[in-house]
Amino acid sequence: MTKDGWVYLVQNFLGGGSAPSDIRKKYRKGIVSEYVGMSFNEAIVQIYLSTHDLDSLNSYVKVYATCAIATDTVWAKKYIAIPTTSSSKILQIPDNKAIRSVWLNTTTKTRCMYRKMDADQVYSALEVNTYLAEPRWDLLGERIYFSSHAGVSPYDVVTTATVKQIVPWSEFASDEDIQMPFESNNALFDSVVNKLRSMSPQDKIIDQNVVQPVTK
Amino acid sequence: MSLVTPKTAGFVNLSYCVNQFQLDRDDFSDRLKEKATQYAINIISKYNIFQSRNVEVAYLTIDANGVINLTTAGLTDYVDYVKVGIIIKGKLWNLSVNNKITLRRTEIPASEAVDIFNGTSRDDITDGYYYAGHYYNGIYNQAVYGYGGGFAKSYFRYDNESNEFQFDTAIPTTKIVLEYLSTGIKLTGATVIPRTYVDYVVSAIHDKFAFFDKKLTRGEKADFRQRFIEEENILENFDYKFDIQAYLDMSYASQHQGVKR
Repeated sequence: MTKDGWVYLVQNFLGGGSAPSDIRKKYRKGIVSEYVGMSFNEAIVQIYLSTHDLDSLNSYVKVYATCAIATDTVWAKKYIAIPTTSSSKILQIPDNKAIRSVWLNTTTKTRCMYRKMDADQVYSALEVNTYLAEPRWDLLGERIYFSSHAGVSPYDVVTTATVKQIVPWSEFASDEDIQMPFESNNALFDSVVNKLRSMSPQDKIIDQNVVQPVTK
Repeated sequence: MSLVTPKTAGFVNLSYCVNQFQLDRDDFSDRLKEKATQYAINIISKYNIFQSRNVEVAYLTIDANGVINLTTAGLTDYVDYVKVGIIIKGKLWNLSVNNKITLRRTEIPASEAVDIFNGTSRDDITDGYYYAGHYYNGIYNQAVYGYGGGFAKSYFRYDNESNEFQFDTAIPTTKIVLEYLSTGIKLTGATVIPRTYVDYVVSAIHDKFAFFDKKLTRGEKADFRQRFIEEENILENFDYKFDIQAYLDMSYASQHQGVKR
């Protein structure tokens, strides 16, 4: 089903007679889409937490093949910005596993290894730092930093990197086909409705100066 | 022996054990790789130092001050020395330790020691101390023996603080042969271990991870520990199988009053 298809499905429900009266015919498309997105992202994280199987989330992976590498002058480190362009950048899967892999675009593509932020100091004092030559990356804010580990220096000339990432709902185009998590359709639907019920419908907001929900 | 049908390698890299560990856990991400590799390095070092006594040989050159600095020489896996010898005219002479203690052993005059190192006398000794088999210049040296230490003025001392060997002034500043206890870890990334070690290393990594995992019960931790002990016993029994060579070595040592290992 496309992203729009999901939004229409919820809208149809809200417009029909089976919807509870307090939420019937009160939400615009943009708002519905935001709430479907929130529920969808939650569902993805929940699936990981209950199965610990990243492969079941492979249908939500996008590949960003040409992320430009820049230099952070404060830390003297190379980095790329998280390639997702939408408002929610990354799904909060533990150990930053939403970013499946980071590759430097050398001729054969060099895979980089994940290292927890600030683990540099510990590992540089251990033998493993000399033993494994792979460049490392860590995540700080909206940037993926490459480690200052010696293994990075041969790749100084590399200008772009590739990122494979499990993306949030907002990263899909409105006509893009999104697979629904198997057996989670009803739960997802219920979650959207519950979220909408806890939010005041727009026409009840008295103060017109408050920030309005985004209209799409 | 068949060269036609390929067999699995008898020796594997350390990363093979780490991959095996990931296979066991069904976790193929790179999140645990560094941690598991460091554990594997620790385990191999420990086994080599305390159980298997991994002895290696290095050829080093004494500088003008009679010093060999092991850090500068790149001998990162050095743990303790076993023997130090010096090559004079194709013969290997062992040197003695002198930690500022007078050595009451067979001594020869300093002048004669100088003669020996100049290659002019006492090259008729036929007995010696055995050096561990090793590669040098692409040739495997299986039967290298060094003549006994205990000459006057042929002393060396290991300086623990600065990781240096200090040699007596009578010793020419040439190449020496150092037999030393090694961690067995080559930090150039190519540590090769026998396949017999694999299960031991893998079970040891599992044991380490289980030990520090707060979510496991004591019973589950004990299971990992039990398996580790079993693998350790299997490996030790394999490494120290009593064979005819061990018997002959023992017999030789007691008959000849030579060095006892």
